[in-house]
Parts: sequence; C-alpha cells; structure tokens
Amino acid sequence: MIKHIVDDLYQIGESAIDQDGWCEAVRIYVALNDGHPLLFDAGSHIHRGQIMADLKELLGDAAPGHIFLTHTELPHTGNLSAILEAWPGTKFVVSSGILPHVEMPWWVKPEQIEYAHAGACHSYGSRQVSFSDAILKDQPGTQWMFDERTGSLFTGDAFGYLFPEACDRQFDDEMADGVPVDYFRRYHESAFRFLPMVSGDKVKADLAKVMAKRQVNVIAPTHGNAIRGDVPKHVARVNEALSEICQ
Amino acid sequence: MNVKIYGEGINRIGVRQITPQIYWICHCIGKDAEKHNGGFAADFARINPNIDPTANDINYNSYLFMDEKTLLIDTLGPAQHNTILEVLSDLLGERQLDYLWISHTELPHAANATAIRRQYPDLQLMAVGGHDHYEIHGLEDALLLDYGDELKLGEHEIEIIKPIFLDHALTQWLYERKTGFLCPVDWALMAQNEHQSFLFMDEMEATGYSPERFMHDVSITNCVVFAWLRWADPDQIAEAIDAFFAKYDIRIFAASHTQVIRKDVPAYLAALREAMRRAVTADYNLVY
Ligand SMILES: [Fe+2]
Ligand SMILES: [Fe+2]
Ligand SMILES: [Fe+2]
Ligand SMILES: [Fe+2]
Repeated sequence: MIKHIVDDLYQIGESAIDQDGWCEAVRIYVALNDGHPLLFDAGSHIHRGQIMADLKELLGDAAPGHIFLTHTELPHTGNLSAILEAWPGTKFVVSSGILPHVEMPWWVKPEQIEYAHAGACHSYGSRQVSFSDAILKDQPGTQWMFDERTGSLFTGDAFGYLFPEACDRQFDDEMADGVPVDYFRRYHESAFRFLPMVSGDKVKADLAKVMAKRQVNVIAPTHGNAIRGDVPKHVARVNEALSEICQ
Repeated sequence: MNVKIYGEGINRIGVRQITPQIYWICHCIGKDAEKHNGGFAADFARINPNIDPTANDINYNSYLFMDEKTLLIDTLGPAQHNTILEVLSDLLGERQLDYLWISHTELPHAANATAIRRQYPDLQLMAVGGHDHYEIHGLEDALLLDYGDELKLGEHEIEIIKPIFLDHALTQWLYERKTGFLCPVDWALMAQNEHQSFLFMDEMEATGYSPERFMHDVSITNCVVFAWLRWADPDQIAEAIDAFFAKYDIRIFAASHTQVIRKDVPAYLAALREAMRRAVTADYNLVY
C-alpha cells in the first residue's frame, strides 16, 4: 500500500492482524529525495512481495541510496535481503551503538554500513537528516531520525498504535477524530513492558524535550501510520496513554 | 582453563562446562574486539575511571542442557551462524536438540534459530506468550510459554520467570531448580578485555576483577542496556531485586552478556543490587 504523506515523503508496508481483529502496522517510510531515495526501516519479511512491488512502483528507475534503521530487530530489518537483492549497492545508516557482527545480518558487508552518532546531522543526496537517542525504545542502540526538509521524526517503535482493520489505510487526519488514546495505550502497553515500573511524568518530560528541540510536522512510527494532521494533539494522546500505563 | 575454541574473531565461540550436564557456549572476539566493537571501553572509562579502558569485548552466551532431553538457550548472533552449528554437532553428537528456548527475539539472541532448526528439524522452538503478531518476529510456530510454566528435562526442572529487567517486550527469564541456575538474559551485562575471554567470574579475580569492579561496571553498562531505569525509583528497584533474590536460590548466575558466576554468588548478587540502585540515578547523557 503506497500512501503519500507530504512533499516527497511516502509510506508503504503492510499490517499483521490478530484473532481479535487488532492490527499492528509495519511501515517503511520513503523520501524520494530528488533521485537519491531514502528508506526509513526495511519492513517485515512476511510482507516481502507487496513491499517490493510498492517500492519498485514508487522508485521507478532510481535505486535506494540509504536505508536508515531505527533498530535491528526482525520487524524492522526482515525485508533487508529482498531490498539488497534488488539494489545491491544500497548503504545502511545505523546507530553508532550497534555492533554489526551480532546485530546485522551476516551477509551485509562492513563497507555498506555507515554509523550515525546521536547529535550528528548529515547530508544524504539533497537533504539533511539529524540523529538523536531514541527516548522510548525496546532495544539499546536504537536511534530516532529527523528529516529537516519535511519536519518528520522517525520514532521506530514509539508513537506506534494498534488499530481495527478499517483504519489500516488512514492517516490521523483521515479518521473521524484522529487516533484515539486507547489505540496508543494498547500498543505502548504491549511493546514497552517496563513502563509500569517507571514514572509517567518523567517519560512525558523526556518526550517534551524532544518536541521542544525541533519543529515536528510529522511523526512517523514504524507500527502505525504517519501522524501528519495534528501532531500536538496526538503527542497529548500518547502522554495520556502513558499516564494510564506508567506509575 | 579448560575451554574448547571454535572459529576466530567475530565467528569465535568458546565452550566450557559449568556442571557435568550444563555447557556455557560463549561468543566473544578476543584480540580484535576494539576494532569490531568501536572501542567503547575508552568512552565508558572517561565517565568512570573504575572501568578498564581495554575492556572492549562483550559476551554473547548460549547454554546447553544435556539431560534426558536437551535444551539450548538462545542462538548467538549472525556472525556466529556457522560456528554455532559446529559447536552443537560436537556437543550433541548423535543426539537431537529437543528444545530451543528463545529469551527474546533480538538478533544477538535469536538470529540463528532458522539455521539451528534446519540442522535439528524436530526441535521445539519456545518463546514467551501473551502477545500477538508473532509472525513478524519469525515465531509463528513457537510453543508459547507463560511465566510460571515448568519443563522437566530429566533431572533438571526448568521454570519460566517473569523478568524484572527487560528491553524487548517478548522477553522471558529461566531458572533451573536442581542446580540453582538462573538465566537473567540481558541483566548485568559487563565488558571484558582480551585476557579475560571465557573466564568464570571466580577466575576473573586473578586478573584484578572483584565484586566491587563488577558493581562499578554494571552501574554504567546497565544504563545503556535498560535506559528506562532513569525513569524508575531506586528504592522500588532495590525492593524488586530483594523480592526476586528471596524467591530464587541462585547458585549459578548465567546471563547472556556476563561471565558465568558459579562461586561467591552472594557477593556478586549484592554488588549487582547496588549497581542497579546507582544506575537509576546515573547521568545518562542523552541527546534529545
Ligand atoms: Fe523494537
Ligand atoms: Fe518494532
Ligand atoms: Fe536485549
Ligand atoms: Fe542482549
């Protein structure tokens, strides 16, 4: 499923559905970037066919320049082999906290990996991407990326939400009242099992620091659709969900 | 030291026997660890002078139980995919691997599950239950365990434990009653230098290591492993640890990224408790 978010930024990737009808999205974000396309995360191996068809349609003759990995667990990297088979020259950008010999597939060559340090900002083709520590994460060595051109923050697992199938193709501004608190709560509760052991106020204060530091126009979670209509409203909803889950 | 070594560098695995029926299967790089691991020890040592600036190596541990049934804890990471198969053929000989228990689904712990299943097609894969969407983690046909579940291997009785420190949501810990063997997965991650590869913790003491050093190291490294600790309360963390230690009689501390502790266990557990208290209030130096 290809969805246009803003400017040259697109969303692809499918969802997994459980018996009760709740879906977990596994998205890839694609910036066309004037012929040097950038991918944020690589999608799930279970969605390989559709992802590759969508990527080829979206990219045309251009090969992906860089793939940015928020972190390396399977839902974020499962489709790497198919992408590399199609475009062997693609480079990876991972957090400087990653140890490739245990955290990257063994067939990725060392010269294909570039490391980003939190706090750095680099040029990729015609745009700048800056890197920060992932504030809410389930694996050490997770990074968040910010696309300076569109104001999009790629948050990996954080800001994800579970949803009924009817919402699979909807951005927040295509839903009646945006993404409900309950959808965020369901996801954060199941993805971050340590939250009941921590202070909600402290988590919220950390997220506020991230938002205060940059003008975020789009939040792009891997396990949800891009939030592009009303970012402050949805940050407030995630905060409300955190208040329910945390101490 | 009685260790059998397979492969070298990023492929290397060392095997040591902890008890007649439990093997420690350990990947660490050794000589070139600084090159492959980005020389992180110097960074840690800048923050805390108690840390050895040459300790650039991290263990990735699997454990094999050889009872009436055989059980492997975790699979090691991608670069060890061939070596782990060689180690298993050597240790198991004609025997089958009955169970492959996955502590959590991150690549350093679970990457070789598919390769191991190819070699032992009848094994039962086991993961923690209570979630949905297992297929995106490659665990769609795993036997799903609940905290409190028990598994008899013969003399050894495994209990599945709810973790008190975890990163990934699909994480479980494991305790074995006969030997007091605890696998607390990522908890207590430490680093070591090239001269300390494959040493049991009691053997580390000959290289200048001690419960005190362990406490300092873990108070730094566990801020990285469990970054959420900065939002926690130090007294609550200490209480959770006390309750855990009161419930389980730990005689072998066999974590995923720590030298195996088989002697003086109470001294190291006390150090670990203090390390976690300190980790909660440490400076995390995050870039927002
Ligand atoms: Fe994750
Ligand atoms: Fe994820
Ligand atoms: Fe982990
Ligand atoms: Fe780990």
